[in-house]
Formats: sequence, structure tokens, C-alpha cells
Amino acid sequence: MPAQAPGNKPTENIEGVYRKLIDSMPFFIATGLTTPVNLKRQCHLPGHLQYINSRYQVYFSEKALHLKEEEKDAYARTYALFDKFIKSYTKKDYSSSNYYCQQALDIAVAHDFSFEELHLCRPSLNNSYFLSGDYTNAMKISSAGLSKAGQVNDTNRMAHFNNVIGYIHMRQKNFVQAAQYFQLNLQLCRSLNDTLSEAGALCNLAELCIARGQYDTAISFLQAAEQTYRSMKDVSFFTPKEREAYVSNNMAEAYKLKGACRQALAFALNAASLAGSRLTGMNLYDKASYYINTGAIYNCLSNPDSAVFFLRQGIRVAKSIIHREYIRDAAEQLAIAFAGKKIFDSAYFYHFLFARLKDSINAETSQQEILQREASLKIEQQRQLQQSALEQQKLWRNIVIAISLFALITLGFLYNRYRLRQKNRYQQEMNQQQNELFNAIAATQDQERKRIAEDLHDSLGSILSAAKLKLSALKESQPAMSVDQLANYHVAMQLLDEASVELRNISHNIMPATLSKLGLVAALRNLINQITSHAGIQIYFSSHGFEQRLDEHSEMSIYRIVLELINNVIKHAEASKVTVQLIRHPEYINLSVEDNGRGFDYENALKIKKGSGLGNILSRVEYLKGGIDVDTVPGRGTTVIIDIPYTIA
Amino acid sequence: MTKIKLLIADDHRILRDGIVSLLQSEELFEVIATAANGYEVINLVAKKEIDVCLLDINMPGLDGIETAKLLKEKKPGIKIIMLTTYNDREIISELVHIGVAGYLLKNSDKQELVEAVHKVMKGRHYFSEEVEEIILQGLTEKRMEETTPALTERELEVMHLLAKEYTNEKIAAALHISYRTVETHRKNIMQKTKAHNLAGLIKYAYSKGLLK
Repeated sequence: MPAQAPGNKPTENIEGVYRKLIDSMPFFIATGLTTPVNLKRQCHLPGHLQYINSRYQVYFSEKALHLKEEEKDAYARTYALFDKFIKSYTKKDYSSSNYYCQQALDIAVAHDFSFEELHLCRPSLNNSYFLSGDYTNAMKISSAGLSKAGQVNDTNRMAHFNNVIGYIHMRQKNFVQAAQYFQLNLQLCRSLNDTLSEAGALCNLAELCIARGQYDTAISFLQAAEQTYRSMKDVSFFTPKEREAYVSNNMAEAYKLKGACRQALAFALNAASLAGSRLTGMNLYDKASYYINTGAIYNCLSNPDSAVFFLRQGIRVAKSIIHREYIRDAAEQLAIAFAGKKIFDSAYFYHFLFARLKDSINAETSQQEILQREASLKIEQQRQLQQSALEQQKLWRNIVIAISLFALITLGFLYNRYRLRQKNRYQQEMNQQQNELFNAIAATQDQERKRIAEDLHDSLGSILSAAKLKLSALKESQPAMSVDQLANYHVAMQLLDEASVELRNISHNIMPATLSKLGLVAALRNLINQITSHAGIQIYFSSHGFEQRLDEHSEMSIYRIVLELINNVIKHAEASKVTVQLIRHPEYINLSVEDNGRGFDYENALKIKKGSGLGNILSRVEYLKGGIDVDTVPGRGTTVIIDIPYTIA
Repeated sequence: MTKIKLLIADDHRILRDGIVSLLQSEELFEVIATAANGYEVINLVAKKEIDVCLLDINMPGLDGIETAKLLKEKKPGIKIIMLTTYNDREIISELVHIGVAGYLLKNSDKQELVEAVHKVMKGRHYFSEEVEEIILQGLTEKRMEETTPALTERELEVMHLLAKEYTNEKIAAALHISYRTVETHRKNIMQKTKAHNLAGLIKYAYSKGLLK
């Protein structure tokens, strides 16, 4: 089987044009015509020269390449890269050829050079990938080519790419898909009325059938192709005879594999005779293969002499093109044929040749397979790498999201707590401030009272006293006063006395001097004495543990509290007996005011406490951080108990 | 006859001058110095010989009460007459306790002042009529206070029930008072009698004849 890459079979018309161009090539070169117009024509040439003559190809392509690289124009660059591709491709340096052709394709796609894309770059890149064993990329390139051809409505190219894709599938032993694409190709060729391409499609289908072991179907496809070729005449470059030989050879293959060696022989001989008729366009590969196949079939028919005849021709052609596979096959068959002729030294020689070639080819094939596997492995690795990179990215993204979320929640939580704490602190601060404010107000009030009382007492009292003294002095200086004068003097003195008494009372009410001079217990004793002597009520006062004075503010507050409590009792309780006790415990002062009055509804009193005496008492107790407990039952008297904590200064 | 050497202490200059001019006509009196506060008084008595010191109570810095205390301590020979507007019983009794010889209210006239000085120079006391009354009243009430038992009526009731091993709850129910009030009374009783526990309290009560 000739291992021909797909898509390398130019159609008749284009190939004819190439041939003419190539004929005129030496002229272009000789005249040194390098104008852009000619250059453009030249551009097309070298890429197609491969079909004709590799010796010219290299020469022209080098020349053209040099010229084209000077052109910065994208179109020329496409061709320059394409020619670089051709150079690597013919050297079987597929990694370079893939690279250059891919670049050429990129430029062609970017600048919408659809002809170059569909006729040059994609088919060639496909072949390059295909031959380097990278079927995945070959498939990618051709699939894109197929869809592009569909877009630009290029049926010819659609057929081509279907054919190519089918071929790739066949190579990968995806026979079902391969058959589908080949069928599509066939239909497109028929719709184009392109009988030649149609025959080509049939040949491909036949090849597929042979690979699948469907020999009869293969034979029917080949027969149809044969008819087509036979009905065609020589057209320019193309010779139907060459195609006929190809078909016959495949027929022979099919019959041989079927086991029908006699039928196979007829076709093989047809192919071989066509190969021997020096047909134009018949390449040496095919020629060698036809001779060798014919020889093999003679071997199969146990006709070693005929076999040797054809095999010798085959091995000669194969050696001229240094085709190792064909040499190997020919050597194998020659060994069999010579063995059949009982010429064992020759048989041994060819067998030895066969074995050596087989090993080296196997080694190379396996190396190629390894390369192919490596290539696909690389692709797989890359895919996995990308995948893992993607997954890692995803993982990182998830981690970042998770951390962000966590941080957000934590922050929110902390912020909330912070706010709550701030709020609490604010509340506390407010309360404290309120307390301090009340403190300050109460303290200031008490201070003010004290100051006013002392000022009144002192300044005004002293002035009144001084006035009295002056008045006495006046009287002494006037020993002989009239009765009227004397009477006026006494009235004036009396008024001054009254003023003094009034002043004393006022200042005492504001702030008793005893409190500031002698302390709480003395002041309370004084207070209670005064009340007892004026109101018809018995008040007992007892204190315990007040050898040392309290701080001024506490003293004033407690004094006010007691005053207020006694006032309440006198006003509301209708009590006859009151007991006031002030007892100093190690950590607090206990004040209790107990009466035998009618009692009252404390809860109700609390509701209307605002502005009342009770309200004042409560604020003062609160200010002293004390606790108040009112034990009262209507009809059974009241006991007010106040505990005030204190710290020894 | 030697003149009586006087020191007049008052934070008001107008009053000091008034008293000085009032006493100028008295041939037996000689105002040695005047002072505006207690510290000046203490300094002056250390340098000069003084027989009688007329002291106001309300003075900045060292007030009359503190000055009187210091004078009695450092110069017990000097007779002190308080000349003040204060007629508070506690203040009067405090000063009497300190040992002042006289206590005049500022509404006293010249005659009273002169009489007071002469009287204290003879080693006797002189109090304005009003002050005298307050002192006497205080004495009678003091006596009454002393007879008042250390424990109030209610406290005695509580103690009796405690002696009967009543719990606070039972006492509260029996006396129609709250539990907290009972607790307060109990604590106050303990504090006043300096008893540490119920046994100590009962012992105290028997010793004082409060329980029989």
C-alpha cells in the first residue's frame, strides 16, 4: 500500500498552470525580474514545485524566499513563511515545518487570505502534523478549514477537507467516522460533477474497506473508479492510465487479501504493465509498489520464476528512490521466490537483507511511534497542566473567596461587637457623666449654700453689728438726749437686733453653721432639738461611731436627707414619735428614720416623686451610691433605711 | 491700777475698728492689738502680754473655735470671750467645753461687753442671756439623752425576739416590718453593742438588765 499523505493530489487545472509557470521559471530568474507583480507570481511557485522536481524546488524557493523576505507586505510574508515551511517539510523537520506553517496560517487568517488559507496553509499544515504523528492538531486544522470552506461556500475545499478528515480518522482506525467523511467527500464531488475527484473519493473508500476487511465492497468501489478513469482521456498533466494502474493495484490487493490470487494476478499484471509503459506522471514509488505486488502474487501462486522477474524490477526501482519499506518487502518476497527455486544462497541473502531492514524499520517505526506517543503525551500533559493550573486557580479562587468570606464575617462580627462595646461604653460614660453632673451640681449647690450662708452671716451680720456699735457710740457721745431721741434710738437698736436674728435664721436654714463647724452629728442634734422644741413631736436621735467627721459633701447630703425625711414625717405621717439613728458600720453608714405614723403607699409615692421631698432624697442617696429601703404598712408606721457606703479617707 | 490688756480678733475691719473705738473711752481697758484671723492671734499672744482675748468664730484660715482650743493649750492664762453671731447650741456647748470664759452675741451693747470683760477678769464666766438659756436647755436635754437606752424601742423588741430564737422572717412577721428592716435592726444592734454574735448580744442584754 502506498503511504500517500492526503490532499497532495492537485487537481488537473491547477497542476497544468504550475507546470507552465515552472517552465518559464528559469526565464524569470535569468532576467532577474523581481518586481512585485512578478514576485507575486513567483510566490506561488516554489510551494508547488515539490510535485514536479525537488531539485528545482530548492533552488527557486531559496531565491524566491530571499526576495520575499525583503517584502514587508503580509501577503509576501505568508509566502515567505510558507516557503520556510516547505524547506523544513522536505527535510522531514516537522517541528520546524509545523511552526512556520502555523505562522503563515495565522497571517493568512488575520488578513483573510482565504485562498492561501484553504489551498496552501491548512492542507500543508495538516500534512505536516499528520506526518509528525500529531493527529489531534491535524484534525483541528482541517476541521477549521472545513468550517471556513463552508463559510466561503467553497465546495471543492469542503470536499477536500472532508477527505482529509476521513483519512485522519482512517489512520486512527475510527473507521465509522472515516466512512462518514469519505461519503460526504464523495457526495460533494458528485455535486461538483468532478468525476476525477469522485473517482479519488471512491479509491479512498475502497482503501477504507480494505482496511476494514470488506474486500468485496472495496472491489466494487474500485470497479466504479476504474470505469471513470477508463472513460477519461489524457488531459494535460493528468493521465487516467496512471490512476488506472493505481486502481488495478488496489484491486489486486483486495483480491489477494481475499485469497483470490488468480483474479489478483490479472489486476496486478495490468498495474505492472502500465508501470512499465513509461507513463507521464507515474511516480517511482507507485511503480516499485506495483512490481513488488505482482511478484508477491506470483509467489502466492507458487510461480517463483515470474515472481523473481517482477521483484527484481521492483527492488531496482525501490533502491533508486531508497525506499526501505519497498526494498524490505521485495527482499522478503525474493527470499521466498528463491527458496521456491531452491536457490538457497540467494534466498538466504535476501532473507538476511529483509531481516536487517525489518529490524531497522521496526526500530524506526517504534521510534516514530514513541515520538508520536510523546507528542500526544505532551499534548495530554499540557492539557493536564492547563487543567491543573485551572483547577489550582479555581482552588485558589475558592480559598480566596473562603478567606474573604471568613474575614468579612469575622470583621462584621468584630465590628458588631466593637459597636456594642462602644455603645455600652457610651452608655456607661453617659451614666457616669450624668452622675458626675449631678454630683457636681449637688456639690456646687451645697458649696453655694455654705458660701451664701457664711457670707450672709458674716458680712451682713458683721455690718449689722458694726451699725449697732456705731449707734451705741452715737448715744454715748450724746448723753443728754430728748425723750423722743431716746425712743428713736431704742427702736433703731431693736430693728437692728431683729435684722440680726432674721439673718441668723435665714443663714441657718440655708446651711447650719454647726454642720460646717462641728460636723454632721452636732448639726443633726441641733436640728432635732430645734424641731422638738417647736413641733409637738418627740424625736429621738442617736448616733454611733461618729467620733471622726465624714467628708463635707457626705455630711451635707446626709443632713439634707434627714431634714427631708423629718419634714415628710411632720407633714404627712401624723406620728407622735420619731427615732432617727445614724450608725457607722465598718463599711457603711446606716441611717434609719422610724415613725409610728399612719404609713403610706411607697410605690405610689415613687410614681409621683418628681419634685417632691422623696425625689430629692432618692437622688441624694443615688448620688452617694447608697441603697434605700422603705418599709411601710398603712396604719403601722414607716421605717426608712438608708445604707451609704464610705471609704475611710 | 493696771489696765486690762485686750486683743480683738475679727476678720472684718469695720467691726474691729468699731469695738476699738467703743472701748477707747474705757480708762481701764487697753487694746494691745487687733487680729484678722486665728494665726495672727497665735502669733500676737506669743509676743505680747494679753489678759483678755475677744474672739470672733467665723474667721478665714484658723477659725475661732480652733483658735480657742490652741489658746487654751498654749496660754491657758488668757481669758477668752467669744464675740459672735452664732447661737447654735452645739457650737456654744463645744466652746464651753473647750473652756472659754465668756460668750457674747454680736447684738450685745457696750455695757454688756464691759461687764463681761470685768467679770472674766475676776475669774468668773459671762454669757449673754440668750446663750445662758441655750446652755441650760442643753444641760437638761443632755441628761434626758443619757437616760435614753442605747437601744431604741424597736431594737429592744427585735432583741427580745432574737433571744427567743426567732428567725429574721418570724421577727418580720411578728413586728409587721420587712425582712430587710429586721436585718438592719439586727446589724445595728450588733454594731452598737459591739457584740459579735447572738450569744454576745444576749450576754450584753442581761448585763444591762434589758432582758430578765
